[in-house]
Amino acid sequence: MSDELEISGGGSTAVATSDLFTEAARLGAVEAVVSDWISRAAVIRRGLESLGLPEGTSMWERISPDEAVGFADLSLDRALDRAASLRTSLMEAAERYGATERMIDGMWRLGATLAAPGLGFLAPGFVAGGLLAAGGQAVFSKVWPGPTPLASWLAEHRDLLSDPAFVRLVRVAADHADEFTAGALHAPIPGPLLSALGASVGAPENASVLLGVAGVLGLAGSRVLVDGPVRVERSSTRTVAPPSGVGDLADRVPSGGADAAQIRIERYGDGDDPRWIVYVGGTVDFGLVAGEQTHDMTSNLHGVADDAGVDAVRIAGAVSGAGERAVREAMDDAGVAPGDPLLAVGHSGGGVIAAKLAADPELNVVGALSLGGPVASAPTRDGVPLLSIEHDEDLVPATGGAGHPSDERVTVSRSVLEPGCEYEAALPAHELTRYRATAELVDDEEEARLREFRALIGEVTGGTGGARSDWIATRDLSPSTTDGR
Amino acid sequence: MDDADLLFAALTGRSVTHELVDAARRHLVMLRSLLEEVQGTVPRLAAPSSSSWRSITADRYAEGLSDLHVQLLGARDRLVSAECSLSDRIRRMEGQLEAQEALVAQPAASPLLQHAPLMRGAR
Repeated sequence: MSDELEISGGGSTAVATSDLFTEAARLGAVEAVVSDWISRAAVIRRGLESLGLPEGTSMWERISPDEAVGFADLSLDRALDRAASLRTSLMEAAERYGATERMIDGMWRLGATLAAPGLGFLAPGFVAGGLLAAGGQAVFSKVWPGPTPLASWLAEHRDLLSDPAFVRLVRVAADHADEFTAGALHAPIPGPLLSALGASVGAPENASVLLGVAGVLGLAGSRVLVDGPVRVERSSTRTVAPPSGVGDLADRVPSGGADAAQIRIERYGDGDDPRWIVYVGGTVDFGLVAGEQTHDMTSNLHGVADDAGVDAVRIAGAVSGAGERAVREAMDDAGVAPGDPLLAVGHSGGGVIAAKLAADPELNVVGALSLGGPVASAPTRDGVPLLSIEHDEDLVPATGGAGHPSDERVTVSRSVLEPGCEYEAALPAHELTRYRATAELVDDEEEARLREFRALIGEVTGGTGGARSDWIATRDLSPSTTDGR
Repeated sequence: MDDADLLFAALTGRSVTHELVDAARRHLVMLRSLLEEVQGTVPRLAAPSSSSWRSITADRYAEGLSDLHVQLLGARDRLVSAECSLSDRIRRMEGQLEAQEALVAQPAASPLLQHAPLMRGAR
């Protein structure tokens, strides 16, 4: 566990702790200030030289004013050189750090590409066990008062689920599920072709295929991962003070709960200049069978699958996740117009929805904040920053795969668990309370990209109070609505 | 005014003018403004890093930061010296100017300076 943040992305290949970026920014400021002093000292020195002041005769005057200013100028020049070289060294260190990270990632990927077919070959046994566990979860939860097999398994493997190495493995595995599947089916695909296919098939494509299969099964009546229509209902309205920073934004994300509102919308500005902040809560229902709860795994899988180009031609299953459709419906009902400036904030699956809103060219989203959302593969839109806060021990952001680089996405990472400690939750690093604590730390950072994101909040709220509304979304489960299109 | 300055001016043939004193004062204002900013800014500009890094690289960085601080303090000290020197020169030029004007009013007061070019405004 550490209060130190690591920042990466945003069009830079450098990866470093926020301390390092702050130091680099500080040295940049030193350079700017000292350059200004050098210019001013030069003007004074040249002026004094041109005046040709009479020589002093006092014994103590060992140096003339223009000479003294000249020496000051020299010291300032040296200071400027020193500040520039220190800043360069810091940025080179960040680049080296980034290169090391990329090399390690590359090795993990290579290992996964080589091992996935082999692991897949052995997979039927694991899959059967997994299905039994999942099936047991569904059946036992209805008839058995005690912990279900899946809950028991999760309880026994808590340490593993929050192990940063396991999280990294999941991130890689999410991008290699296709090679894994080919191995599991004993498909006679040549290794090089499989690897080539694997490079172009990531977590979103894999999720899309899974949804397609689930959609076909849905035609036979299955509700496993089969989405449906949604409806939203405004649960309360009240006035609200403007959020002061990223920590405040995180504090306002709905915490979830069976019948609690999953969406919160705040309106700022006057009648003809409305500006909005939309908060989307995280996953409430972790089951694979789609129920009334819109913020569930079915919706999450849609969230990841939507990032794949191939998902647009998927003919079975819903077009988008219930959670995203619910948020858009709530926005419509709240009065959000396409051109209104909007800031989107979300935790977990809500983070994915926030990222999707940010990438939508038909909305005027000015920025998005994802707290533990799997948004590494989420498309971004030019000029719309996506700040993704991810904990090193959190499995959920890793399920989005390694993703792709983007100038707009800045990732802030932090380690939040103490090694060797036992935690009550199955995924303690994913808890909203921990993300709120990290978001507060972001407010203390002076790194330029984080500062710019904080400035966005002020631009949206205008520093004045607004109106808040909470929204409860539910999925329609009537038999005639197995398709959410 | 220092008599030596007057003597020096007489020997070199250089007199002090109001314009020269005014120009020097303007430069003193600029110099003091710069000095004030440097004195107020340097302590926080190159303050030791508060980072928690512990490595050889971090030690070298701390040394570099310390050197930067030394250079900035050196610049500040030179500017202090320039300010003292310029203030002193202006004081002496003001004295010299007064003496010159007194001499113009009483041209025969000092035989030594009778041949010095003391016309107001001449250099």
